[in-house]
Amino acid sequence: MRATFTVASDLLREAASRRWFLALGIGITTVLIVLGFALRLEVVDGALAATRLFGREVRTDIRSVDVALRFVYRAAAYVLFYGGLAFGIVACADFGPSLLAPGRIEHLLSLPVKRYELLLGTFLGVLILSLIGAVYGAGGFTLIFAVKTGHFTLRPVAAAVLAGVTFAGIYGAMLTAAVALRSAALSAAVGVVLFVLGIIAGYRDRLDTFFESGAAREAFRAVTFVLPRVSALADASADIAASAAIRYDVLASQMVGLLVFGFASLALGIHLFEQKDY
Amino acid sequence: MARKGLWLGVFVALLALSAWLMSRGDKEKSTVRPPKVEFPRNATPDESVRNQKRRTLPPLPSPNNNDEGFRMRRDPMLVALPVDKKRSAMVFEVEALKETPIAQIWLDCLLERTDRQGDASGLERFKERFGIDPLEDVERVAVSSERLAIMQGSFSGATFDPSVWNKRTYGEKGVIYENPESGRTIAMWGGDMMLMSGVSDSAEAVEDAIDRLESTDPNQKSILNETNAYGDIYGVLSPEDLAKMLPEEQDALAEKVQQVVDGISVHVDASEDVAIVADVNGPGGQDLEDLSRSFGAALAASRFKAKNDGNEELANLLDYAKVKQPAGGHFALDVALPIDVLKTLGPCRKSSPPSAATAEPKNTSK
Amino acid sequence: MLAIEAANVRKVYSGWFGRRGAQTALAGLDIAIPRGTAFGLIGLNGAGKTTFIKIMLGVVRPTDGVVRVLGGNPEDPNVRRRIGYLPERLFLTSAFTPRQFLGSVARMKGLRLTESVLIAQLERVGLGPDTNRRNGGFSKGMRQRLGLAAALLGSPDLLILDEPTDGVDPLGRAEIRKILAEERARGATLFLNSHLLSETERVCDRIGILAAGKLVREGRLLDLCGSETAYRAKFAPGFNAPALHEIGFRNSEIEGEMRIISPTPEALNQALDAARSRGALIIGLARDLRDLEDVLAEALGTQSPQSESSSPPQPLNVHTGETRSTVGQPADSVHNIPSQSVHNESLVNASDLEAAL
Repeated sequence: MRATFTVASDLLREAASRRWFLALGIGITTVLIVLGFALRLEVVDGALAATRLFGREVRTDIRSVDVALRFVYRAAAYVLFYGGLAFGIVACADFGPSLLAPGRIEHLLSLPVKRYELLLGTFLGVLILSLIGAVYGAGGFTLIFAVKTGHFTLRPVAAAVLAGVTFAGIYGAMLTAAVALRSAALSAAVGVVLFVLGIIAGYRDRLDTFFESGAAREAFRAVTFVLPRVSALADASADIAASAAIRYDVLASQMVGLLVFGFASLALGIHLFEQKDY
Repeated sequence: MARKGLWLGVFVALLALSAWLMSRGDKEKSTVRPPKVEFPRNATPDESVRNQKRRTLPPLPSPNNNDEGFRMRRDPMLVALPVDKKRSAMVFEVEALKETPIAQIWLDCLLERTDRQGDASGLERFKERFGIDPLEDVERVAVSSERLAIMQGSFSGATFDPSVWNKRTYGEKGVIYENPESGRTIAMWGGDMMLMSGVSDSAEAVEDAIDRLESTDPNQKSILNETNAYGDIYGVLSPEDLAKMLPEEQDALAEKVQQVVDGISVHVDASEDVAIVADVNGPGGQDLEDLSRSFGAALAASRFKAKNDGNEELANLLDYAKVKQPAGGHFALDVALPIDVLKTLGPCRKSSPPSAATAEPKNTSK
Repeated sequence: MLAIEAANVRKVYSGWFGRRGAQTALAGLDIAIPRGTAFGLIGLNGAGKTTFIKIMLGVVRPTDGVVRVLGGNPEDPNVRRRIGYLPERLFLTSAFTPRQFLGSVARMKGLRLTESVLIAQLERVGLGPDTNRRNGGFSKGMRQRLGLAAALLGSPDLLILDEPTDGVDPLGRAEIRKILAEERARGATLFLNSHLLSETERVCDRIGILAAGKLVREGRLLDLCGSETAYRAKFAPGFNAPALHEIGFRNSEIEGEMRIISPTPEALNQALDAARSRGALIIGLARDLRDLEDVLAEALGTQSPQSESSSPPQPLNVHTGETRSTVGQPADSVHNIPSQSVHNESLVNASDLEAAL
């Protein structure tokens, strides 16, 4: 596992020097700073009485501050979930091909490491990277609102963690695609396809009624059966952020299922990797 | 080769496991009903048509005895309501309400209790006594703080036992029935209105209502005008009555209400989850703004207190309470009562499903 | 003890559509390289050199045959732990500094090296001033130096170097040769693949020539390049060439030089004496060796374009009696003196020759 952690930490170092991630870090930090300075929230006896952005009043309802923030956190959770996933797919598509670049992969494979450790390390690195990004964004956002309203909750951060785990699941398949054919474009394409199909799969029980009962519907159900339920997890993420009650056993099952999906994809990637000559 | 098969086997096994784990949430989710709350802020097209049809009273003459300006025909139910602004009145659209989920729950509860007690319900007794089925014959009911109830509907089958009720006519179309034993007074007006006094041995409220119905005083104004007649329940609350409704710990707020508020119009939509809008009217300015914030703070404080006291039901109800920012001399107080939460209240309460108890309402406005 | 052992190694890269489009990289390679050897593998492009290197590293799996490296299977990480490898084109991301890169490689090798050790390693390959500079702007030569530093981490028993001096400046090449000599002195086995045949000559003592996936020639450098009975003699201007022809000297392609075959040192001296007696003044003498290019060309059945022309000056080692001349390898009783290349070796001064004789 030594090699796994080394690959993961190298990936984080590599990410830190990439423009995509620098831009993301700067972007998140800028938004947080702007929010921190430009947003004024007036809280009266636990009720959010007035909101001012850049000195201009934003017409909002007067209600309990935690209830008012639910809507903010819900919206932020959706933005973070879908935005983060889309960003991650584009920004991380090159990690796999970069690992397998000529001159690098044979050097890595000449070291006393097992092949699966390299893929596992890359997967772990991306998982950590997505969690860092998500927690930084959601944590900063939550902290700003906590300081301004006196209401502190870790739920948005938990929602962000869910987004990070979801992306890691998808990334497993992206990495496998990169192993099959060393191409960042293919890796990104697989991510996008899973992203879109995952949204559909999340609503499969509602959408299957669009298909004629019989072979078409069964085919739809069979295909979506193995796909990550991206939209369901996005909704769950928003529910967590908004303090809405959810079935945690079901969520845990879906979350673990998605991680297992990522590892399943990774197992296929390792299988291909083990067979390949470089 | 052994390793080749190993990772492929791991892939298949993990994929199957992941599919099973992920599918566990598919069925569960579909059973959760997303709350649907529609806050009534204006009359719907159907309600506008309905209100138009109800304007059966001729318009009042012009105050200056000239024919200048268009005078609208009037809704007799609204005309019968008190004119005093210190009074409150609420109208219940029975015909609409009886189709609502909350009415179904209430009726189920009523029937269950009746079955359990082996006794006829109040509705049944009313039907037996007056030949009127409140659920079939009554279109709407209004009650006022004058202790007057007005029912409008189809009352051609109404019967009053002459041995119990003394009958006399009043005004052009009014017939008053008085029960010397119980002291109750009921009046029929025009065949489709029934007026009931809540004050014993006094026909004054009923007679006043008939007077208003038959009056041609051009300055006569009901406390509830036609433009406010929308929603499944609607009406007006006087500042005094609202102040009385506030809990003791909100005395300061109650005092402020009486100082600042001119009146409160209330509208309830129960077509799905129950949504209540209370429009608080006043002269505007900083006082009204401060009052809106005080209301918001009071709601928040009540919610926190309920939470701290372990009163989850009240806390959940107050989750949906909010105050709209003041604009144009009024602000709105919105409260939503999701059906799933209402089920947990009252005599026929059921245990609250966790998914619905704290679910966010989907806010829309009519 | 063998460092590298390969028996009937075949590697066929299958095409997208099975056998159609398949390419044979190695077609039954047999090789045995003793430990402590500096082995150079040469051959044309596509001969299978890189494939064999990757097979030795476990990066590519042979289709057939057995490869054992340092007595074990190269797919075993514990075997690879004892190998240092420098790829031909080392890929470096701009995210790392040389120090960080070495740190990462050390961690993967399971080495716990301090910063000072890493920096010393970088200084050893001439990257001391660039320790904390991002790799992004590195030249090819600097990348090779860094790759060499990584390969040397942990003092491996076997160093496999693919074009180690490619892109490195002349002084840098000398530094690298010095490092490789130090590693050999330490006891490491060197396996070198380089297109710079002169570098191979200087570093390696055994050579293998790979052609079409097979080892067509393999042996000691001297055995491949030289003939222990052929010499070149340089005479002062004005010598009588026909007279020298009578005693066995033959014309060379270089003016003033003549060739002679002498099976023994005694016969050589007799011939030289005879030449002197005919008025010829000897100003230089050297063994008549071919360079690797010729050997390669001969092994592949082609002609070296350079064999027809002169080569730039190269150092020359001359020995006498039973002591053989070698290239790039220090040996007892060997004189290292500046000279022409082995192929067109310049001749030693008469005084040196005399001293040698």
